[in-house]
Amino acid sequence: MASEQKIRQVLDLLTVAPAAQAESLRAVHPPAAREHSKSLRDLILLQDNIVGVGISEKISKGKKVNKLALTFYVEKKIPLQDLRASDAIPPTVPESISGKTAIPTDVVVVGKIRPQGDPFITRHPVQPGFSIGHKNITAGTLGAVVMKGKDIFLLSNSHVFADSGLGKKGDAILYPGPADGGIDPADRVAILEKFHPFVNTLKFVNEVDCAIARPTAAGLAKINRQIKDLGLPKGTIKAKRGMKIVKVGRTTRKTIGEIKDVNFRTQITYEGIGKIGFLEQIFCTRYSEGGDSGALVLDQATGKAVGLHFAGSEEGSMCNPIDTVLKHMGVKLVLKDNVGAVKKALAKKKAAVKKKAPKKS
Amino acid sequence: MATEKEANLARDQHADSLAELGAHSIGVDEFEHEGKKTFGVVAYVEQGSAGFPTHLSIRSGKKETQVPLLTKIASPFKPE
Repeated sequence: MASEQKIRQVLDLLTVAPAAQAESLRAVHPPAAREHSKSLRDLILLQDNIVGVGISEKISKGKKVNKLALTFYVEKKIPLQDLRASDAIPPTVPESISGKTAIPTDVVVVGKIRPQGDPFITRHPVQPGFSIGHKNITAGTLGAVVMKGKDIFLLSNSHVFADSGLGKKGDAILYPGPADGGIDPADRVAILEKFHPFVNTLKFVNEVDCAIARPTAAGLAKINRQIKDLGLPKGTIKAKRGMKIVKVGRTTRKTIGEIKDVNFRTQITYEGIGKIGFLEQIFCTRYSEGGDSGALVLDQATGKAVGLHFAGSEEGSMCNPIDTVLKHMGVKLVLKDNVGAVKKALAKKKAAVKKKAPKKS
Repeated sequence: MATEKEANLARDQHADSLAELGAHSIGVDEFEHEGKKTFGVVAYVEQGSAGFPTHLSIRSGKKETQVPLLTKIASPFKPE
């Protein structure tokens, strides 16, 4: 079995700067090694699908086989028959490079690796796309400003606003979320109004992970209804396989993806609650990371809302269908065509707040 | 081979039994099966696929259709 040190030498050989590598090959490696290492180096450098290379324990048929491997991290798995021979990763490192001890290779799908900028954190304005959260959680994303009659609310997930249902009506919602420096009461911008309780079962029966919060007077005065970098949603639309989507979230900011499945079923573990089974979820290519929960997901072509992001894994990202969310919360999105009504409602609220405020002497 | 509609129906009818076998998520996707492109059900599992069938049977009237089942090893989804 090849040692980690030996695999590291091969890794260095394949990934060091060209000049240094050429020198070292001239000195110690025969021509066959030079040729093989060049083809592997070309594979690493030129194949767009390979996003990284390293050393890890080899996994075969889902099980660790107690051997270290030279691991190629790829964006997606491509069937062998769809690859040119020169683009296929060999099962072992050629003997001319590894020596007599075979070094196995492994391929691990990690998805697209994106540079991660600073998270979206601010205290002013209170705007969809930025960090927010219940006082007892880390942080999620403010998804949208919504209306119920003339009342204005903030929309996000239950696990962002209601601590997955462990919170209670009136709990403080901090902006930014506690993990981003939000403290109570200084950063309290809203209080929990309503959440949809989970049915605690492994059966696929839950439809949504959503909650709304009522802005405080101070929160209300700071609201900007436009989703950061996206503007106002232009309505809602039913999800379709193949639809290109876009969202702005606290962690990965503006990202795009594609809907793969509109009736996805999954069991998700919520801390302090247990495993919850969901049905009819929208499963997409990966567009998110932890902290993006609550982000509104829009159809890229029309700018209409399609879902409320809530979960993810290396396999992809997932959102609740937005119409189901709005139905459960009994609210409407603030859209371009009802923005006038919102402006009036906000002005009225702000005037009322001003009237209530004690006069300075 | 199966259509997307048939694969969705197979998921509806077999989701609970697939969960009992250890699937944490159940999708429908287009993939290659026995050398041909087809829609089928994808069962996401944390560990091996032992015990999972290769096809799911659906019945519509007198017609019985076999929908391919693919198992995929993947970590469960998490709230983000």
